[in-house]
Amino acid sequence: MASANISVTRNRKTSFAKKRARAGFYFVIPASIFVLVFFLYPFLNVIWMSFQDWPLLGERSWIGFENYRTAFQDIEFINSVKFTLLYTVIVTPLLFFTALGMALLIKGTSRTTKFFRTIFFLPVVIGFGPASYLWYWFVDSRVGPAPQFLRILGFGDQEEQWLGIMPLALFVVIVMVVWKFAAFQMILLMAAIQGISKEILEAAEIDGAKGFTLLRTITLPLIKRTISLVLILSVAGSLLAFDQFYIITGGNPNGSTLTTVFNIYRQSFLQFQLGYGAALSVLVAIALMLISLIQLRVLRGDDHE
Amino acid sequence: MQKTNKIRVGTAAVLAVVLGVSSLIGFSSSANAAPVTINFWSRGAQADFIASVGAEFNKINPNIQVKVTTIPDAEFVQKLSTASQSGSAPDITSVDLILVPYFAKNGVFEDLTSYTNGLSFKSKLSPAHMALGLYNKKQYALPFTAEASVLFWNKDLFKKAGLDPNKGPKTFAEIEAAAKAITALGGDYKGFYFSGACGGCNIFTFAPLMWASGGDILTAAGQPTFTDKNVAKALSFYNRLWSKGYVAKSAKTDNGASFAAPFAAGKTGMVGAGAFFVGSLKANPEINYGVTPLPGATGGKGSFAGGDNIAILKGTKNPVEAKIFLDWALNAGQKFIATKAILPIRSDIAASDYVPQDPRYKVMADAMAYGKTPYSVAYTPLIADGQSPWVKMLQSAIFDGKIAAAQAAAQKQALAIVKKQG
Repeated sequence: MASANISVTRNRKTSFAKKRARAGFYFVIPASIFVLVFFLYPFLNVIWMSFQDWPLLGERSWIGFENYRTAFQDIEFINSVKFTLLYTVIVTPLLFFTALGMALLIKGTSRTTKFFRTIFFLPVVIGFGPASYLWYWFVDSRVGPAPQFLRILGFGDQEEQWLGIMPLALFVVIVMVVWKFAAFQMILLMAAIQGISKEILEAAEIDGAKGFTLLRTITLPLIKRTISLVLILSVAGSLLAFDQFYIITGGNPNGSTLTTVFNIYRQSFLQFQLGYGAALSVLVAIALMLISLIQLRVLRGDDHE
Repeated sequence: MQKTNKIRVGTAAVLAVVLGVSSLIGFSSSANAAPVTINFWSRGAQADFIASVGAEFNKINPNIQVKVTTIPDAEFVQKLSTASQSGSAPDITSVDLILVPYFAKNGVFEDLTSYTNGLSFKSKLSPAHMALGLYNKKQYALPFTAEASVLFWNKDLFKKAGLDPNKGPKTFAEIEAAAKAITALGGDYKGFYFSGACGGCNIFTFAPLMWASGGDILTAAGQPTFTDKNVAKALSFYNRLWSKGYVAKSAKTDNGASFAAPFAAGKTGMVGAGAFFVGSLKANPEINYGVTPLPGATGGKGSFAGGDNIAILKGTKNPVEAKIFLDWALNAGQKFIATKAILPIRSDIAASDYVPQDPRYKVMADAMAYGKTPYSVAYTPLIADGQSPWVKMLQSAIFDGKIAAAQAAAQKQALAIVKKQG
């Protein structure tokens, strides 16, 4: 009797578990369809395109790996990769440390910190396009406030366009991106810091940790997951940079600020080589997946220690 | 018997009409048949007046309503290309004449050859527009609006600098001397201006300088000749203007955002611009200026014969209505655009409706006749792209002074593009 009873409950349990699993499956369907239609299908399509000579208009033909072979000898593409890496290497730590500094400053809940939090966050809500145009105007030698300000302070006539000088043009974009995005990372980091339980911090303080030591040995290790999220987002975003350079520098001076995605846009729509643009996109996607994978590995590996 | 049949047929016809009309009433407020809507695209450069062209046509033709859509210049090629492939193209479009060979080659436009041959005023149509509309001996596009480039000079600044205000410069040396004198006024005064990072702007205002000097970057068949020594003359002329400080520093990075605007502010002595600029300057009546042909190194004159062609898209669902609009655009429409300070593409209408408005308009109308337009199916990759061989050549020749090296590099890049695009 008893055994029969048990088996019934078991059956019930398994059928309940099955139902739950099925319900879960149904819940995932919309998202899966979304991924299929808006990611997987276009991505497979791009791969298919990348093996063809596919002009913007006109006849297409299958050319195998020709586009990929061209890519590895294309100086414009190689230079764009180098430049994008340089940009990423500079902007990622700059963004992170600015964001961390801001997060530590405004982690409290007083009225003033709330006020500054809002001020810091304002640039985040402006669209990327408008923000880029804003800075394009801001640094213009004739009408922009920034050169005008330096003129008043006595730093020369500022007649030269900043965007026409190489390290300066990149510098302008970097400052703009930090201004625009630091507060987004700040919010993520701040939330993580606020999530650390008071007891741990108090215990550490009793043990004599304070200031920088507290930050390095207690706070940072405890928000490692958020840090890895922030870094992965930042690296991926920087490697895919387009709008800010398209609008602010136009890839100039002399094509020295041409990013990989900007170059893909050019090859596809201005040089009319959609197939080649697709091949470059595939290369960038593969590189990005590898880099993100390595980042995840490294940051997760630390977690187990 | 016959009578009853007739009556029956008549009743049926009336019924059909009534039914047809009543089914249409849902869409139109009047008892007339609903107007057919045709989609018409135009580019940003025509944004100022194109809506009024549509409105004028709609007023006169209540049965056809033209819906005007303006596409930004920088996106026009991509938008029309992708739209024509996905079946969402407009019925009829205005298109920068220089882009027509590319679209015609790829079968985007309807063949208008027989329609063109039937036009009584065919010989009056702008030859440059007609030439660009031709591909493989078939006419795919017809002229719509004209735009010629000329040199604008500020008479007040010439006077202030001790130059003859009524004599426009006729050679590179004269421009240079005038630019020097005006820059010497000091302050914000500069002799000359151009948008150094803009491919389209410079094919419009710089290319005429090299054409008038006997040079060119493309042969008639579209083969690149960027290393031409007469092209070098024009490049070194701009390089001198730049390195001697006669041009505002913003020219180097100007992607066309300013174009001729510094001239309108009254502190710039000379600028290359087009007929449209006369309209812009009307907003600044205090600027006292003259227009003269863009000269060559030692004289002569050059101009870019530009503007838009109009073409019907292959596969349009409203070919009849599109043709009615096209017909209007070539006749009454030309008289209408002349009232909007736009240069008409018919020499007869230009003479009767445009030139009498302002003595300076005659210089523009004449420029259309001697003007030139490069013919290439690869205009966008060769010229318009911000990193095209054309823009790269200008950048490194004018601003870095490496003229021969810039020409050689551009030639190499251009050859590769032409080989690919055919």
